[in-house]
Amino acid sequence: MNQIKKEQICKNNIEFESVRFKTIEVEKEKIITFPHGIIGFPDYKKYVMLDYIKNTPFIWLHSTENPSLCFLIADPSLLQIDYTLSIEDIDVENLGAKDILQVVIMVIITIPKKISDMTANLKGPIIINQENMLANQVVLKGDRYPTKYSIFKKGIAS
Amino acid sequence: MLVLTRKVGECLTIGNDIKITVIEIKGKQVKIGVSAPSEYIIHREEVYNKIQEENRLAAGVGELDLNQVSKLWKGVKNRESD
Repeated sequence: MNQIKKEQICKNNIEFESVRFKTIEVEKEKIITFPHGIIGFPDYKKYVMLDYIKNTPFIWLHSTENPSLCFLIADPSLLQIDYTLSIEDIDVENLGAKDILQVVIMVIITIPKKISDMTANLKGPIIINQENMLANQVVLKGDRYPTKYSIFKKGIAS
Repeated sequence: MLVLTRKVGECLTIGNDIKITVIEIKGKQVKIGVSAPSEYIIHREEVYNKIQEENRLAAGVGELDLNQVSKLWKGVKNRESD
């Protein structure tokens, strides 16, 4: 009885290796597919979000296909960044979404040697349609947002 | 590299489904129209390179002192509630 139950659980889960976290097991439905990959990493299309850093807005976006590939990301509204994107900025149809309210917007965090200098890339946000788990990194037009926005100093970093 | 000369309004086709049109020439600037299937993502090269470089830096995050991250974050939260 117990064994059948265990197999059923495993069927809905996948396991993958991570350099940072050893073996990770997640539900298959949590896998996010980037049909084009993330810019600079076109070969890796499948990621999961790992909510391992408690009491902060920071989440790991970990490749299920490359054990050493992961990004720190965050919801810009939780970072208290004034960040408004419109339907002209991002092609949500591309992700099978009808309007911008259907997608989740996240930004990638870069951490230099000094952690307090960490920045958010507001120019190339990640857009996720949580209905079908399709995602894309978009590049915003114009100079409205920088690739390095200092999270703790609240401004454009050099 | 293949180099071709085109006039305003003239096009180039690449393969079966990509078409590039010269829309306008103004001094040193050329306005170009590209129509291609959605699986091709088109970017201005310098912007694309910048995002790529930033992604590579972001993916290179090493050992991370999570306590320090939490502490810094708490500092921001406290500052805002003052």
